[in-house]
Amino acid sequence: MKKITMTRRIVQVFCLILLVYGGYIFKEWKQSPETEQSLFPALKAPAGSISITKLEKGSILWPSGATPVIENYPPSLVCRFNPKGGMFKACILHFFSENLTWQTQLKYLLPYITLFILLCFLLGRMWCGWVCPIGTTGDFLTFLRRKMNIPVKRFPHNFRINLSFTGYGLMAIALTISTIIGMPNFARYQCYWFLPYCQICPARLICPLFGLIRPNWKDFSTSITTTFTLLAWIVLGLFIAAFYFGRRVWCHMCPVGLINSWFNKGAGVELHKKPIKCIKCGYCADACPMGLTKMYEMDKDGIYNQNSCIMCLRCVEVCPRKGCLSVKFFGKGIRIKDFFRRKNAE
Amino acid sequence: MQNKFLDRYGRAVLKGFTSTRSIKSNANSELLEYSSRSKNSLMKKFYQDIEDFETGKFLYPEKPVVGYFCSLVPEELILACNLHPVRLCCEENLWTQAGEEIIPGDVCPVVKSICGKFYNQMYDRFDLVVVPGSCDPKTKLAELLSPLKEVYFLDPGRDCDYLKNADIWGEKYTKFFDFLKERFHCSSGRKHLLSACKKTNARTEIFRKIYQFRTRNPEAINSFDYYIMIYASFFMDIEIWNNLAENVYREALETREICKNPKILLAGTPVIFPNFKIIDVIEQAGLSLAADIQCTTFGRFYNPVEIDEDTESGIIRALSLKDIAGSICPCLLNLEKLVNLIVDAVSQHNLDGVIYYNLRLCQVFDIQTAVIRQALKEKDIPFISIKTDLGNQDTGQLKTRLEAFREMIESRRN
Ligand code: SF4
Ligand code: SF4
Ligand code: SF4
Ligand code: SF4
Repeated sequence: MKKITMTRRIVQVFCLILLVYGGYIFKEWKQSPETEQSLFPALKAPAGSISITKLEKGSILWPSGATPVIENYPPSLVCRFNPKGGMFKACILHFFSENLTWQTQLKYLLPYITLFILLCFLLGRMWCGWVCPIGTTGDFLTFLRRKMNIPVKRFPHNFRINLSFTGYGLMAIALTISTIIGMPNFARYQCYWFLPYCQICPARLICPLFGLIRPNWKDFSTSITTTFTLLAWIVLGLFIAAFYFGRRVWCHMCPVGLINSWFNKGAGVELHKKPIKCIKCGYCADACPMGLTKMYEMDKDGIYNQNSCIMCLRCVEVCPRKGCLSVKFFGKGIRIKDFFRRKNAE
Repeated sequence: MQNKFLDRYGRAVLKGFTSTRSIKSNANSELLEYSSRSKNSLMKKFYQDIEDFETGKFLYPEKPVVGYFCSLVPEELILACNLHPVRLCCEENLWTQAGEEIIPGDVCPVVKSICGKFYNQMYDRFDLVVVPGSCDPKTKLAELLSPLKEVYFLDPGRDCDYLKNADIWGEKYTKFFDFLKERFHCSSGRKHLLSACKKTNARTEIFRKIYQFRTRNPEAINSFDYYIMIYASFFMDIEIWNNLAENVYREALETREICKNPKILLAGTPVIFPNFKIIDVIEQAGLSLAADIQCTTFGRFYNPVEIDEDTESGIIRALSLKDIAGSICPCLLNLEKLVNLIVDAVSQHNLDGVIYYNLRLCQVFDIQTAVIRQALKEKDIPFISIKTDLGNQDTGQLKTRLEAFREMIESRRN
């Protein structure tokens, strides 16, 4: 394994442990949502409206990890439904859905949103490639597939890019529903339609497994919960298929990744290409887990950050020509580049 | 799968042409001359092996031998089937004349001399010959050799765009791999492919070191030694070659010789033993050949196999990317890449000029000359193109031209 990939794997595993089991490690940091010393005001459900902590064990949205160490929403699928001991509260989509329903005032949300934008601006979608526990799970599925000698299914480039419309769709539906059920007239639907995306999100079914807790994987009590259960199964099936037969295909559909992707062009992490060095070998495009091709096609000097790029830096790593592809941080060469230098490089 | 091309008429062809004449190659005397100029004591083994190879005394390992042409044929697949790959190429006037019997007329001298060698039983030990459809003469060669040997024709196509063709290449290479497995009754798979790639990647690593070293210090491993090493890699066992080359490199590291001659880059037709006329003339003209961009050297060795998907089909795909997409073969659509490489190498290694060498009657190299000339003119890089054949008649004239070229470079320097 090459150095970048090796580093990435280590970071991924480290982040997985931290994000999923962080609450066990930093026990003393844990604070109840009421504590006023917290950095930001803890977001609370107004009286009368539904809050996820109120849901009973039988319901789909029963949170196995209710007490996060830090009340924040990082740009990756850090899930509310972690085992008890999750490090952060939830993912950003959860944040938006929940607060749209609660109709929280903007001034309470601003600190969270600012921090989120700052994090995205710094690393772009590197959160997806290096941090997200679900991305890591997916990479593990890919690893299994390779070891079993099952060839990858490469979807056509355009198909992959169009998959991101799924993400837009899911996000739009989730946010619309959340807004509607926040209105007083529709409040009675809250018990079924609260956090609609969470109900079908694969992370909700996968994350509790990390803590050896059985997720609430079925609820056939009413027709709405049955529909949600079936949808969740379909999405989970798609998720596994997408990782097992393709590479990171799910990440084209993920709505949280989609939000990150808006920050990719212009993020602090920049990918540069010098086409005069390129020998058009296609290694970069072939190795890209997101199936992107711009770094192969580009024939002008410059930055090739793309929306769908998860900044895994695999393209930089496999390029056989030194200096052809490179990573910079705000225009500056990364100092540890000697560490990243390929054994075979010139 | 069609692997016999002249089934019906092969016998007739053989009858008409097998006039086995005892050809005495003058390879020995040339080898002696070149080895005497070598500064590296460890080079002896390479010279010895080439002498054996040219005289038919080379001891192949105890496995089937597969000959192949060009960098477009994946050597790793042959290695993975536990066969001994031998890359074939020949630029020797003597054999060209022998080949005239089969291919008369104005045809590429390389193909002629290969035919000459085959029809004079130089390659009897071979079990299979793999011919790619890189250029037109090569394609016909597949048919011309088929009365003598079993031939596999591997046509990668001439478009080396990765996006359009990667799947097609993968299929073609897989078919070739399946053929090898069936023909030689072996059950190679992922593990064998991985270990084969490991060997060639080790070779790439050593080659890169030598290549980089020579750009700084071209005299420590002189160009004769360099091309001898390249030629030896055609037929030597890859692990033995790796070891020897590594040792030669280590020894060369110790020499502290500073090259004062103008350093030039040689591009164009590959230099194959014993046709060392061009490097001989370059040396005589007071130039130092510090880098080259040719299919046998840079094109073949410079890129490692980059395995992303380590499944069987993934490895085969990676091989096709290395051998076809990244290829600098002039038969494919990659002229811009070649010009880029030359411009980049000149600026990166501080070279003083570019010699574009072109073997007469090879059209693909010829056609690109003007484009390269104009592109380098725009970048203000001294350029000279040399067109010659395998004979020795024009040596004096070439030397005069190159001396003028050197003077031009030196006057620019001051
Ligand atoms: S279930 Fe999905 S959307 Fe909901 S908090 Fe977890 S990761 Fe976020
Ligand atoms: S796109 Fe993939 S890596 Fe990014 S947040 Fe979604 S699941 Fe995680
Ligand atoms: S473009 Fe490069 S960094 Fe981005 S996802 Fe593809 S391989 Fe990774
Ligand atoms: S890996 Fe590097 S040299 Fe190869 S096509 Fe991509 S950018 Fe060009």
